[in-house]
Amino acid sequence: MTLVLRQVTRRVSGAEIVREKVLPTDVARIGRGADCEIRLPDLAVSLHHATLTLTGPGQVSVVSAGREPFGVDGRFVTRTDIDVSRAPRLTFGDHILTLSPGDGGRILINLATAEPAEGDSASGVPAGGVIPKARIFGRRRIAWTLGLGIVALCLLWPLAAFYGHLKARIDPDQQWSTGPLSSAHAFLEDDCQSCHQEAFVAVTDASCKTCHAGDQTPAMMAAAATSVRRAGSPDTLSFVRDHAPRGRILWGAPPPAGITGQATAWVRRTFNLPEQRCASCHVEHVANPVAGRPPEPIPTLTPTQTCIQCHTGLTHRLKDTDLADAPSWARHPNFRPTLPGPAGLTRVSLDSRPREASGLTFPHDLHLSPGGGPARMAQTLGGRGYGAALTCANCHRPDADQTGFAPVQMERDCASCHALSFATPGGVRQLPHGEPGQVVAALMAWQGRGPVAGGAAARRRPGEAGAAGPGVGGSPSGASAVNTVGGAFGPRGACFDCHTIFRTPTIRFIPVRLPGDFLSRGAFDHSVREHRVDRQGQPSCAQCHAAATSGSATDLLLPSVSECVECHGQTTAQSPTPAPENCETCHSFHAPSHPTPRPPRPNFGTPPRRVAAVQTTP
Amino acid sequence: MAKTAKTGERSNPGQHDGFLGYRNFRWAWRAGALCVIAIAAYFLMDAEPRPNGGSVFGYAAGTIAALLVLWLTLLGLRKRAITSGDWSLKAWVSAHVYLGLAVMVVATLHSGFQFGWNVHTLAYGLMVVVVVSGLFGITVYAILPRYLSRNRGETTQKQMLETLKALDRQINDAAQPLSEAQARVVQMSLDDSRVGGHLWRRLSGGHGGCGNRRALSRLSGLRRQATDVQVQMLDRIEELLQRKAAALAQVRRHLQIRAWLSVWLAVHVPTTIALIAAITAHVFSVFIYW
Repeated sequence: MTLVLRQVTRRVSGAEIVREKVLPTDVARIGRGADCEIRLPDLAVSLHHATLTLTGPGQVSVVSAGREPFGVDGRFVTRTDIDVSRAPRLTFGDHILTLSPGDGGRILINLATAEPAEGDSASGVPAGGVIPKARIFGRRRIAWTLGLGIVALCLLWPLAAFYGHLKARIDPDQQWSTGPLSSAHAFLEDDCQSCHQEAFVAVTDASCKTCHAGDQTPAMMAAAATSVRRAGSPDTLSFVRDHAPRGRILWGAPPPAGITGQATAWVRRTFNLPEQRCASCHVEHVANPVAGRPPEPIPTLTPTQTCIQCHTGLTHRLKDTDLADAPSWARHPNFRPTLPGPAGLTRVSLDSRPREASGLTFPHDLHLSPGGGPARMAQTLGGRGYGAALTCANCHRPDADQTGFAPVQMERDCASCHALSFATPGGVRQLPHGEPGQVVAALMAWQGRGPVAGGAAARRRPGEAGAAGPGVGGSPSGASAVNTVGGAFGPRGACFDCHTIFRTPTIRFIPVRLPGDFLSRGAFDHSVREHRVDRQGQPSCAQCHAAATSGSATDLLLPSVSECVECHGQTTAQSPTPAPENCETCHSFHAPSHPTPRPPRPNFGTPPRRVAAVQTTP
Repeated sequence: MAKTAKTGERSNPGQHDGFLGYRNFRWAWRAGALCVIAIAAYFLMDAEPRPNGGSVFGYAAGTIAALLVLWLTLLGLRKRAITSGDWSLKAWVSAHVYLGLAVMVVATLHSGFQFGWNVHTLAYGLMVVVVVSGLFGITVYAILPRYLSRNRGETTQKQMLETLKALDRQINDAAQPLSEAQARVVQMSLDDSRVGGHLWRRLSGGHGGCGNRRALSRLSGLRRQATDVQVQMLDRIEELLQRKAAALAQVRRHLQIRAWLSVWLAVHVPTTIALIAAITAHVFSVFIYW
């Protein structure tokens, strides 16, 4: 039996070269040393690593020379006896010895080197002089991943949510928001579609009016307020009204001026961003124009036009408008009070010196004269709400919000002096006011039993109506006393005092029409201190209303706009009570007959001011 | 006036200008002018209630910035076709660099400095990453090539690796007679002296567990217990290991510089694609929620 060493090397082409060497003895040393029979040029192998001994037919034993083990079919041992017929595989470092039985009882020892794995190099030096790129440099893959990831997450996902294909808890389209909303709208932050209802269509007024329309019925407004409160709105819902129909605003607004204006208009047209929408002025997604501040309570107001811009030359752009141009405060048109005329209520400029036609006969000068009869009556009354003489406040009472005056009511404001009660043997009787038919019936019933008080000379003392009889002091009121129905309605009669009455052939009253508000397109606030009292704290009505010199009820006691100019638009040097000349002081955009409400909660949900004349008698 | 070059000759030798200084910084001036105009317009065109992307200036600046980004991206295609003259690749790269910096200004003005956690600021952030990585790229391109050639000397990368392999062979041969413990030390150098590897290793140039370095540091310990013959062999080995250390340092330095020269592109290019995707989402979202 002999040991034969077969050394297998591999050519570059892949072919194997086999060199055979018959070992001289039955004992072969395996190792790196030059004296070894089986020499393995591998630093991982000891100089004399192991000894292979032929122990019998087809039997060998391999024993480590030192403590270094070697591999036998994958196990590491220091000693082994092996049957060659099983073709055992011994490994020493990178070298593999495969034993196999050969012809004539020979034992073949095949020596080969372990093949390094593909792309790996035993020495750590890359083969071929080419160093592979680091793996992170796969730019294309990163680019695709990032690009497609962003398209999917930032475009397709929110889009699917917008078209309602997703019922997600989070709102993917929130990432499209360009900035936080004002605090009033913050509760809508996760509901983009409450305003952005249609794709590629700018937020419409209809979206805003879903909640904010001020021209709905009170029930609808209450329902809207409840619904936004339920949705989480922290504030009271504001209701607004249109300044004018949008079409008229579009026509009334001046064409864009300057390069910026024209460019803006072009951009808006090109990108379908209509002007004069709610959102044109009320800008959202800004939170606060000053960076770093907390969000504004309401959307940031960015007027696209000033009042002056539209109301200059408006009459040229809107031929049918009944508004006068107001190019500046200095050129503000004179007031045009609403007065009853032949064609109903019309607005007439004070410049044309219009007359009032209330249908009453009422001389303000007589009532306000300190030496007149009414003054003396007031003195007599003293302590019952009347002073030394009659003042404006004795008859004109502020309305509920103190900004204006309630219409004069005969029973409340005149009857203290002009009582319609009179004494009869059966007791004190009261003539009904405002009911001519009933007055006639009452007088018919009492005709001949006593005179009906009438005429200034026969007036009773205020507050003691009828206690002493049907005339002053209970006696007939003189030769002119009228005892008949005709007398009451005739000259010096009780009714004739204040009313214009015709008796052709039947008794006919000129209807009394008291205006609710003379100025229907603006608002004068009587509650403002400077409007109410002078610097000494005394009522300053007379400064604007020339009542003391008015001898006729047809005198229109309204001041002209020049009266306002004495304070508004003046500097501290020019006026002791300077005031702003802003249009908003008297006109609100959303309700021009109101002054602009103070921020932050405009509310025009209340009905517009009464401008129609109040008809008190038929 | 450019002299017509004869075959095998450079036109205007000695007048080489790089892409940065191309034609007396022509594109730097143009990009600067664009920035000045944009800044002036930003302050002149009063956007209400505050500067934002939705004003006239905002739309104009946004459109210009988006078109610029698309054009800048085209460098990826353009660089694969080399031409000369005003539309040469050099001119294009010069314009790419300076207009790329101008995009940063124009897009910032477009934003009106309104930032938030949304797709719009995502696009802005990606643009900043792209521009800053580009800026980094210009910087390393301006600085590193001279170090690269200084390190390389007259050799090529392939030659450096061949040198390493040759040294390995010599070390292996020289170590054959060594004892087991000594051979194990030499084996460290052969097994663990890696070059290349992952990105951070390349960028840092550090190979902390370098087998060659460990082998060198242990050699002196081995020498104390060695026979005279072995000491001679170990001296020979040490010389080889020292040479290998120098060769390794050169290759690693070479790879380090090359990694720095290209690592910014790994950010610049993929982020550009991400940026285009984000701009698409940005524009689309603005118009769908108009």
